[in-house]
Amino acid sequence: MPTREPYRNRIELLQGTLDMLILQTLQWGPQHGHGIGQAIRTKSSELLQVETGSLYPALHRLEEQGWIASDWKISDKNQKAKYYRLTRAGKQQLSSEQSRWKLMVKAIGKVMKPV
Amino acid sequence: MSFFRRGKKERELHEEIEAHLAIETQQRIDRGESPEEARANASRQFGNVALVMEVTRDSWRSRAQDRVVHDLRHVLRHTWTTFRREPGIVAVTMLTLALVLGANAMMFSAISTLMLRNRPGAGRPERLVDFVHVWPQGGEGQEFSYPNYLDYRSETTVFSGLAAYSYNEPAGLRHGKGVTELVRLAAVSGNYFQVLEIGAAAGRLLTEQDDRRFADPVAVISHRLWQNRFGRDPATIGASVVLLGRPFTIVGVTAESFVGTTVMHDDVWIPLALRGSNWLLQARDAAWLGIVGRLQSSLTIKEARAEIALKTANLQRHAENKNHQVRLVNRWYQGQAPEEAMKGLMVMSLLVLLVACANIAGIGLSRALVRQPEIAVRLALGAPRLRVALQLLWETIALFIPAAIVAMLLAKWTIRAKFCSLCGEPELDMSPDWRVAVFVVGLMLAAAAISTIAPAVQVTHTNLSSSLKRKSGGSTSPSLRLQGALIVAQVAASIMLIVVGSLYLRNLFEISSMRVFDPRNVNIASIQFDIGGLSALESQTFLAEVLERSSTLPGIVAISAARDFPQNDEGPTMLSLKLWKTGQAIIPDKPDVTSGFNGVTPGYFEALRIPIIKGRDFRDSEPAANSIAIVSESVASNLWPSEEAVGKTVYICADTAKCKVEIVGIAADDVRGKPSPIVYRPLEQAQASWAYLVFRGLDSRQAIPAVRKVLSETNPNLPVISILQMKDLLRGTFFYHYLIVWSAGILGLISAAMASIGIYGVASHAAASRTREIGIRTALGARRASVIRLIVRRSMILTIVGAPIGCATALFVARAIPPVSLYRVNDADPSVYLAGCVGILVVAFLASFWPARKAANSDPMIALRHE
Repeated sequence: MPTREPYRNRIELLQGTLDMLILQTLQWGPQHGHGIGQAIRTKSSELLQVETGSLYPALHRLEEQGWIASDWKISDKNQKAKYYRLTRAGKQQLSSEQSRWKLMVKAIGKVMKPV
Repeated sequence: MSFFRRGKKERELHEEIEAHLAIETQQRIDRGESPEEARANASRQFGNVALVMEVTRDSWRSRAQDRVVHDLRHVLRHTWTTFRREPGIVAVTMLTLALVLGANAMMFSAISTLMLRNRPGAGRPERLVDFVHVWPQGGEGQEFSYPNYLDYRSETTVFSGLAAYSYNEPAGLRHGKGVTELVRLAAVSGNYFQVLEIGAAAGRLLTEQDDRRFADPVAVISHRLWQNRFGRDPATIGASVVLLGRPFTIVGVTAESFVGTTVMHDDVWIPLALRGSNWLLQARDAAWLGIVGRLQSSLTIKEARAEIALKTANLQRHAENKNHQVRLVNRWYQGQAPEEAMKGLMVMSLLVLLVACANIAGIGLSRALVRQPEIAVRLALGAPRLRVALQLLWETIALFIPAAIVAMLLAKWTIRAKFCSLCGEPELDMSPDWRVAVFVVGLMLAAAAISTIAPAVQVTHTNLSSSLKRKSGGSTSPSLRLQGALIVAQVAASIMLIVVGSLYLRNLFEISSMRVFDPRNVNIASIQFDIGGLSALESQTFLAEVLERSSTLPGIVAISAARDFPQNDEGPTMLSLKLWKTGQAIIPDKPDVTSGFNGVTPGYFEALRIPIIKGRDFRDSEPAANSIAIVSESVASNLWPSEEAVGKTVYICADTAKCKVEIVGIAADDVRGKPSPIVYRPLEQAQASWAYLVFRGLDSRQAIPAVRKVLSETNPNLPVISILQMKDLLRGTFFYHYLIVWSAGILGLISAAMASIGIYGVASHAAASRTREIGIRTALGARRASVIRLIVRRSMILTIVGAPIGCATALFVARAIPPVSLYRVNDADPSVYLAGCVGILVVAFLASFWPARKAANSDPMIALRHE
């Protein structure tokens, strides 16, 4: 019987990184949910597929935290969409995430390096 | 408020997702896909919108309060959807629930007023204790003799006061030159008002000084009488009135809130010492007084019981008190039969409520089954099981709240409208108060919980994959089995109630068809001579004059005065008479026949249309009145099976010199099919302090006022107790029959209605969940009849299983109801059981046929495409 635990674990696993990726993407200017997902995909050469079921909860969570803010705008293709942008707190958070990420990559790299 | 913000957020999320899809679609179109293709692919790529919304929602600040609000909104929306989807079923369910809750509220109002509280108006009622007399021959009463009361009262250490009161009786009250009015008079001990802690609205109340043999005769009147009769005139205090033909001085008026010791209001109170005859005040076997005591402060009823048990044991040294038993109760005691009736009705109402719960659980189950995939998904997404279960509970409560409100209003209106005209006049204010409201709300919540548990447990313990897979599948899941059990229980309960009601209804028909006398157009005036202080001679003259004047009235067919009338419940218990044949030795303990007794004037048999089979009726002037009698057929055939009875003589007492009477006529038994031996004598030979005028009129609406006028003109100081149509009096005699017929019948019909809704629900669910199967069968050439049979079969099997259970419980319940007077119900009458079962079977068939036909008529192609 499927319980909620495995599902939660999956989110937990993605959570930190996905948040960082979103913040990183928004560094280049406001973007809507679809655009953010697409940006992550293209930037990662299609390696990272961001599920909408992860993306939107993450966006809403980040907004709740005050790291990003949103406005409804009309896109250049004349479509209405909800654009997210980085806040001051978000920028600070991004830089701390970046340094933590670098540290982690280094650490993991050391661990994984064949002796 | 977060409540509104939540709605906005929800909408915005939805728009955001729509925008996402729009952008994706546009991009795909730009890449060259056709618009339809683009839309479909975008949607597929996005995934399940509802799921994304659900998990996104979870990322919102999920404070408990927000969750409750969210759930509540969900509940309301869902309730509304349910109502719109099946408005008929929901409305009927809620209406039946409201009726059942209303019946419970009414019963509880009565119990709350009569059994859970003490006398209205009494001070510190929780310290009052009622004495209950346990009769040696079984049963309970509240009547004690005056000497026993004095013994209980003397040297009591547990009661600060012990008061006695008589049950009110009709009395004539005359003030100044006015006419005599009928009032209810109670005689009470001098300490009565002190013990009950009643205040005076004017003047003073009775004291011990007034309750002495030769004290000045004083009386206290009720606030109601003071207001209605005396217009709240302060001069009423000190006024002289005539009560029971004797002068009394009114000394005071009781506080408005006090209405007396019993359910029937008292109007006037006089001291015991002035009411009782010497005999009444001295005989230990004359039980006529109720006893109420006030517990000494700091003592409990337990301690009182200990002392009273000792005194009771001590009292048994008197021969009259052999087997004398007393029970103390710390509340307002209403007598065994009424209390049992009230409790029985309460149990019955609760039972029907339980049936209603089973029914709603059944409906909830089929609704939950429909929603099972949705709920399974929510559970799989991590919604706590308890939260989902609670949500189901909230949904049920949301549906029940309107029903509870309607129930309270129903109870309030029916009690106010005195809907229950059979119950006599409820003089007490029984309208539902906060206690009843609490009871109904509690009951509503309990009912909601009971009817939610089964669906909630069932639905929240399902497996996602199996529930998603099973959509079109099998027919004997555990939930279906549970649903089946509920239907069986409902069918059984409704058959039980309907059969019990029908048994008593049938008995009523039997009783009326067995009547030889004809109660239609017969009216009965009840007269009590002592309330106007008439002597025996005066009352004879009065009766003679009334009969003479009334017989010439237009529209009166026949009129007579009698000591008793057939199937009379109100009057004295039937006097029995022993008969010995003349011309043989009399053995005092061994009479030839024991018979009922009545005193009548000429015209009695004509008024009631009881045929005189042989001989003659009495005549107006009967020279040998003291030595003649008419006997009923069963007396005659008993004494002289093969001989002519007219002209024979019998002794009607062991004193041969005085009571030899000649039989001048034989009247038919007043009831067919069961011996009813009665000896009739001329009324003046059987003079009592009361009499009934039995008269047949062409039209009761004219005959009653006409006779009433003659009565009041003949003696304005003798108010008549009542003039009623005989059919209304008989309704009083068979009160418990009517009570059972009405309550069991109505509750039975309600529960049958609920059972049919349940069956309808099961059948339509079966039809819905087997749509695919039915489609395949139809496509393969199954005929409509066989499809209908498929659906109807299960409902019919459930009904057939429930029927014998219902019949067995009906038999058990009918036997358990205490026998009602002489008119025993034939509780094993097979035709009633059969009719009940057939009726339910027909209803069950119709309830399942409807959805079955709909399923059979559906297009197989649509059915196959289903899901």
